Amino acid sequence: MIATFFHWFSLFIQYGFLAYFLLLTAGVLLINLVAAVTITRHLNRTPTRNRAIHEAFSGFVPPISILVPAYNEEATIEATVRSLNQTNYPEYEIIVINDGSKDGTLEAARKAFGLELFPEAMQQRLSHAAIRGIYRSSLYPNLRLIDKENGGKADSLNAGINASRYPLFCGIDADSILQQDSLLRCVQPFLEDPRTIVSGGTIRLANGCKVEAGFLNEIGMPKNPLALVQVAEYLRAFLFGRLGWSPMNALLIVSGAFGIFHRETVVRVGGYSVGTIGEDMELIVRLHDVMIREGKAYRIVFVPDPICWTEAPETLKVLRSQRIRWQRGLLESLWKHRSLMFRRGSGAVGWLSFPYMTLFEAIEPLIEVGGIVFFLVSAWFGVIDWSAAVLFLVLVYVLGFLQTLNAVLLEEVSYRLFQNYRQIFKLLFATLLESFGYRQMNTWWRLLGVIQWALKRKQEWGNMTRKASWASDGDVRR
Amino acid sequence: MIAGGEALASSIPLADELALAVALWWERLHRFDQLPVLIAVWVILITLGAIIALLVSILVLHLRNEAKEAREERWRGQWMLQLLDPEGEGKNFGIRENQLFPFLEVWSRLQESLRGEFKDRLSDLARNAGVIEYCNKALRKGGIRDRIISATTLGHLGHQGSWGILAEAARSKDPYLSLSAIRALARIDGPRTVEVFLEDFIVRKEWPLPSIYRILLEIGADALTEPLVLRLLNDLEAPPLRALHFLGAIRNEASMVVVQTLLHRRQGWEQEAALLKSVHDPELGEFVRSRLGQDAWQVVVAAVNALGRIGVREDMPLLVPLLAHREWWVRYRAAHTLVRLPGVKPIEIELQASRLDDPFARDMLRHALAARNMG
Repeated sequence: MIATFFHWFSLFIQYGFLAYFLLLTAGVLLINLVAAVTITRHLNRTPTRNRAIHEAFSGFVPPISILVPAYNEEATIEATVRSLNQTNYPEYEIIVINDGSKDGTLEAARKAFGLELFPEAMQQRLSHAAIRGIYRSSLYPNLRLIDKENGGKADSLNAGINASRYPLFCGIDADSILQQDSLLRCVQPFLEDPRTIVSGGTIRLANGCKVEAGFLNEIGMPKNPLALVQVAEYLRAFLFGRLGWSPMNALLIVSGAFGIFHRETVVRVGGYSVGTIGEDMELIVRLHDVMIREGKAYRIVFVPDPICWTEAPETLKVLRSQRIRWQRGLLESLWKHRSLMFRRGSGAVGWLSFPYMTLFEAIEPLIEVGGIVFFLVSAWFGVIDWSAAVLFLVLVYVLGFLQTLNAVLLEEVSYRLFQNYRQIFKLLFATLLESFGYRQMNTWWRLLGVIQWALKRKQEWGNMTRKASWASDGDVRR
Repeated sequence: MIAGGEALASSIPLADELALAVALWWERLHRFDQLPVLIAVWVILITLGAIIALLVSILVLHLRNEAKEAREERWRGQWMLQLLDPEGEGKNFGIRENQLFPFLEVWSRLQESLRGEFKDRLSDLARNAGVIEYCNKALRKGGIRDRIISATTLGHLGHQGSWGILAEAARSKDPYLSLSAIRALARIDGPRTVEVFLEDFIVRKEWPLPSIYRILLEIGADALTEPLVLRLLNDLEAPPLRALHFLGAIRNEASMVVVQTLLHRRQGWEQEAALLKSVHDPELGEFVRSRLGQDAWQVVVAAVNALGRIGVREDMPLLVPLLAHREWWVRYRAAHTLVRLPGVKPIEIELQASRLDDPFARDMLRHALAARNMG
C-alpha cells in the first residue's frame, strides 16, 4: 500500500517537475520571440548609426528633471554630475539628493559646483524625511542639491520629485554610466504615444568596459568570472526577458538605475513606497494596479537600446546580498498587489505577466530546489533510479542553457555589442558557466530570499561595495 | 605516423566502450518503463540538438556580420577620401545599389559636419552617384528602415522630383516614416508642404506636437501665417487645439489678430491656455489681466506667463495675491514673473515679502528673488 503510494507520488512529482520546466522554457522562448520581433521593429525605425533619423525627435522634447539619490558618494558625485551635464538633451535640470551621507558627499559637491544655500519653496506632495537645506549651483543654474536626513532611496526620490519642476523625471543611480543620447532615446516613447507614463532603459554591465569623463568609451568583457557570468545573465533575464512584455504593456519591472517617469502620474499614485525593498518594481506594479483600477489608458514601455551601464558585484558576498534583496523585493511587490492577478479587465498584466512572474520567478527557487531534493532522496531510497534522478537534473540545466544561448543569439542579431571573436567566445563560455554553476548558486540565494520574505525578517539595505574598475577614483561605496 | 596509428587504435575501444555505456544506460532507462523519464530523455536530446543549432547559428551570423562590416568599413574609407578630396570633380563618382545605405551613413555624417560650398559639393556628389534614383526606388519598395533613410536623404538633397513619392510616404500610417517624409517635404518646399499638409498637422495625433512645431518653425512664419490664420478664422466656433499651439510658431501681427479674436470668444480652458501662450502683444494686456482670476489654474499660469512677456510695473498688485494661490505652479510662476517685471527693484520685492502674512507666499517670493540674484 505504502509502496504504491510512493510510486504514484513519485510519478506525480516527476510529471509535475517536467511540466513546470517545459512550461518555463516555452514561456521564456515565447517571450524571446516577442522580444525578437520588437527589437527588429525598433532597430528598423531607429538605426543607431544614422543620426539623421533622430532629428525627427530631437527637437522640442519635454524637459526632464534628473534625480540622483546619493548616499556616501563622496568619491563619485562630481564625476556623476559632470557626466550628466554632458548629455545632449536640450532641456533638463539635475537634482542631487544627499540622503544623510556619513561621508563628505555634500562638501565634495559644494566645492565642485559652487553650491550655495538657496531659499527653495518646494512642493510638498509626497512625504519624506526632513530636509536640512537646499543648495543651488552658482556655476550651473540647472543643478540643485537637496540635503536631507537619511530615509533611503525611495524617500530621496520622493524628495526629488517634490523639488522637480518638469513634467518628466528620470531616476538614476549615482553610479550609473550614461551615453550622451541616453535621455533622448529613452524619452522617445513619450513622444510617440501620449499615453506613456514610464519608459525604462536597458541596463548593461560596465565591468570590463572603459569609461572616460563619465561616459562609456569602449565596450569590453569583464575579467572577473563572477561579473562575466552576469553579462550572460543580464542578456537572458534583464534584456530579452523584459523586452518581450513591453509590447503587451505587461512590463512589471523598470530598473531603478535608469527610467523616465511621468511626474504627475507618479505623484497621483503616491510616489515611491518608503520601506519597501524593491521600490522600483513596487512602483511599476502599483502604477499598473491603479491605472487598471481607474480604467485609464496608459503605457509602460521598455527601450531595448543599451543606454545605461552599471557595475555588477564582483564578490560572492555582495552578489549574494543583492540577489537575496532582489528576490525579497520581487515577492514583496507581487504579494502587496496580489489582487491584480486574474482581475477582470487587468489584461496581459493580470493574466500573463503577473502569474508568470509569480510562478516562474517568485517561487521558482522553491520548485527547483525542492525538485532536486526530492529526486536525490527518492534515488537514495530506491524509489527511482539514480540515472533517472540525474536525468531530471540535467534536463533542468540543459533547458536553462538553451534559454541563455537563445539570448546570446538575439544579441548577435540585434546590437552586437561584443564584436570580436575573443569576446564572442568569452560570452559563450559565460553562458556555459551561467547555466552550470552560477545558476545553482543563484537559485540557492533566491531561495534564501524567499525564506526571509516568508519569515518577514527585517533586513537593512546592504552596503554595495563597488570596485569601479573602469573609473580612476578607486573604490566607491553606496 | 606510428604515433597517429596508436592513437587511432586506442580511440576505437574507447568509442566502443562509450557506445556500450550509453546503450546500457538507455536499456536501463527503458527497463524502468517510466514515461516521465523517457520524456525527459527525449527533451534533453531535442534540447541538445537545439543548442548545437544555436551555437552554429551564432558563429555563422558572427562570421557573416564581421565580413559585412569589414567590407563596409573598406568602402567607407574609400568614400571618405573621395568625398573630401577638393581636387576631385566627382563626375565619375558612383556607387552600386547594395552600397547605398553604407554610403548614406558616411554622407549624412559629413552633411552634418560641413558647411557652405562643401555641403553643396557633397550634395552634387550624391546626385552624381545616383543616390536620388536609388532612394526613390527604396522609398517605393524598401523596408521601413530603408524608406526612412531614403526620405531623409531626399529631403537633404532638396529634390523637387521626389515630391510625389515623399507625399505618398507622408500619408503612411507609420509615424516614423510619415514624419521623416514630412520633414523632407518641408525642406524641399516649405510653403507647399503647409498648403498640402496643414490639415494633417492638425488631425494626425500620432505626429508629436513638438516635432510638428519644430518643422513649422523651420518652414517659417512667411509660409505659415496665411494658411493657418485662414484655417482658424474659418473655424471660430471650435478652433482645433493643435492649431492654436501652432500660432506660437508665427508670432506676428496676423497671429495676434487671431489670438485676440479667439480670446474674446468663449473658449474651453485648454484653448484659452494655448492662446495665452502665444500672446506677446501688450495690446492684449487688459484681457490677459482679466484671466488671472480664472478657476482653471492652467489658464492662470498661462496668463501669468503672458504677463511675464508683456507686463509692466503696475501689474505688481495683481500678482501679489497669486503668491498665496492654492496651486503651487501659480505661486511659482507669479513669484518669478513678479521679480522680473520691468522697473521692479529687489528692495521693493524684499519689502513686499516682509509684508506677506502667508508663509507659502513669503517663501516663494524669497525663492524667486534668490533665483533672480543668482541669474
